[in-house]
Amino acid sequence: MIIQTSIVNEKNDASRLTLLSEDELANELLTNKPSRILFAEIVRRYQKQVYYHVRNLLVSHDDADDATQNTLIKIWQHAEQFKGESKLRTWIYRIATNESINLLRKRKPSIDFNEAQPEMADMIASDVYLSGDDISLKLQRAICYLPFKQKLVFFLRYFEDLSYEEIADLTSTSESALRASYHHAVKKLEIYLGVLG
Amino acid sequence: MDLENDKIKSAFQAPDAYFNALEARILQQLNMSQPEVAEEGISAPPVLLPIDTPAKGIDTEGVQKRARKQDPITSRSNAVNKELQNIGTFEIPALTFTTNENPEWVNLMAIPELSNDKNVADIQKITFEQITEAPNKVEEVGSKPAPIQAGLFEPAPILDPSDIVPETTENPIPVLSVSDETIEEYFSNEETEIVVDSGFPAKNEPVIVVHHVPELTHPEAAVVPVPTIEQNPDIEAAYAAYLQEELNDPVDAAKSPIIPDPKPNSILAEETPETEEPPMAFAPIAGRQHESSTPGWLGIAASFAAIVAAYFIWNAIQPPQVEQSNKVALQQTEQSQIVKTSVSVGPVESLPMSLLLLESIIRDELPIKTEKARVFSIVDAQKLPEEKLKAMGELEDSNLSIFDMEDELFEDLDLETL
Repeated sequence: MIIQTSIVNEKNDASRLTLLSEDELANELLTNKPSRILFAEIVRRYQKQVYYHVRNLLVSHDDADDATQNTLIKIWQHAEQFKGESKLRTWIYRIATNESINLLRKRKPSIDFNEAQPEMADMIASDVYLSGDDISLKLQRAICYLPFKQKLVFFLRYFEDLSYEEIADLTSTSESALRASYHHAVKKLEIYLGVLG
Repeated sequence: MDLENDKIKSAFQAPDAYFNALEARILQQLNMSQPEVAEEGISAPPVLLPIDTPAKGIDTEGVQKRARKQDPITSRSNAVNKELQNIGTFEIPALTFTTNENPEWVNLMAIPELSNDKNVADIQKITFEQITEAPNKVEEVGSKPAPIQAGLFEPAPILDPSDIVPETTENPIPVLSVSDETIEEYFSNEETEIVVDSGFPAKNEPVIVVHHVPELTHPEAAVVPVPTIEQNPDIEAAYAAYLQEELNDPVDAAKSPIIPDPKPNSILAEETPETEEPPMAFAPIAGRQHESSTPGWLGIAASFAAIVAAYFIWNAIQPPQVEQSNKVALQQTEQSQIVKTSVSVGPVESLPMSLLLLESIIRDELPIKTEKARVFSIVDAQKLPEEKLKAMGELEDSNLSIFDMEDELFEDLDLETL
């Protein structure tokens, strides 16, 4: 009887969590001890955003799959370290970005994040889960010719629709610098797209 | 192009099935199996992929077709008519067994359809009833085959094996008894083409047609003329004895479809071993060789010089001794952590400064590797002394180790400089 009551309560909790907004979910994570139900809700809600973010940074689907898995596991393992100083989405994006950077360093220890990685452009066409839109593929190839920092700011702003405030919180950078970086990235991409036709 | 106004979507689009599988995999890895979470009330998506997703079975139809084409038995077989109105009417198409040998090696002139050579008389036609009722009954038709039209073979009496033998041979070939063994023998013979029909009422007459390709009638014709072997009397005598033994062996004669030569012994006896050299079939090798005028000590000196050069080259390409010792010491340290033994890591004096500073971290603070996968531990870099951080950076710069920078990364990235 007691077990049945607890199951019913957990069912009610799960259905309640699905209705929570992002801020309410972050508040839930702060106030209560991280539970499996809460983590499952976080995975369900943020796994696509994490995957597409790391896929944009890593290009390779296999690498993105590894990075997404590691990111979500770290969220579960370090959930108690979330202090609520930033949004939950920003915190998750930060862990995902760090995981991507670590993976890039492991793949290529001599990588220079100030330089572009044009070899990634060749990997796009041969990878999986691509849309058939030509202009999207051209844009994705052009992004590979950007330095990592500009690439990161462009992804977060253009594809993920994060505000400059959130990106500044994520990257510990001022908003003015981020605006300048994004502006440079857009201008470069427009030139690249013009060259690529 | 104006990127700001013309919004372009990302080129990466993964299906929902992938995310369902990813979620299930992560929950399972954290010991939250999907049924357990579902039991707790989570509206977790199903682990199994939807039907309209790429989880379809692999289409092997093309592979099967290709394999069927490559199969010499089924490559030319016709499909059985499975129409409803044809039920009760047995129409078993002729099975044609062909060879997959190189077409240049197949005696195409022996196939009447191709050559219309009436001297080739190696076709037998046996009905199904004769096979079942009198398996040993073989009728004679004649030495010449009936004219065969493409796709339809006329029923004809069974050939007498004595007439199968070409006119050039005097000894009859072994009697072809129609039994399972014989059929299997002909099936296994790649030089034989067999068409089998049943005795059931069919549109085309049921027959068994055996195309027997004449083999070489003279054993010596099968011997590739190699001058060096023929010139050796010992080898030739041994080979003659081998041929004699082969011809006298009844078991081999029954297995092999090769028609024995009527006069193999006489031909072998007539051949006398040639002891003389062939009339300049090959130029004498010794005549084209010249004595080297190079003194022997020069070769020894050249060999010694090559060894010395190889020694210097080997030393030049070796990595520096310091880095090698560093790597060995680091590996020993890691192994000692895994095994949890108290074995000391070599002479401490030989370790570089960076490893000495890191020793306490590795031994005391970092987690000991166990069999349990994915045990994470975070070392707060702000609490570490500056010299340890410097040593970690030195290790990372020399690619000896990689430390995950969790929170201090973007301060190092310095986006302000962009």
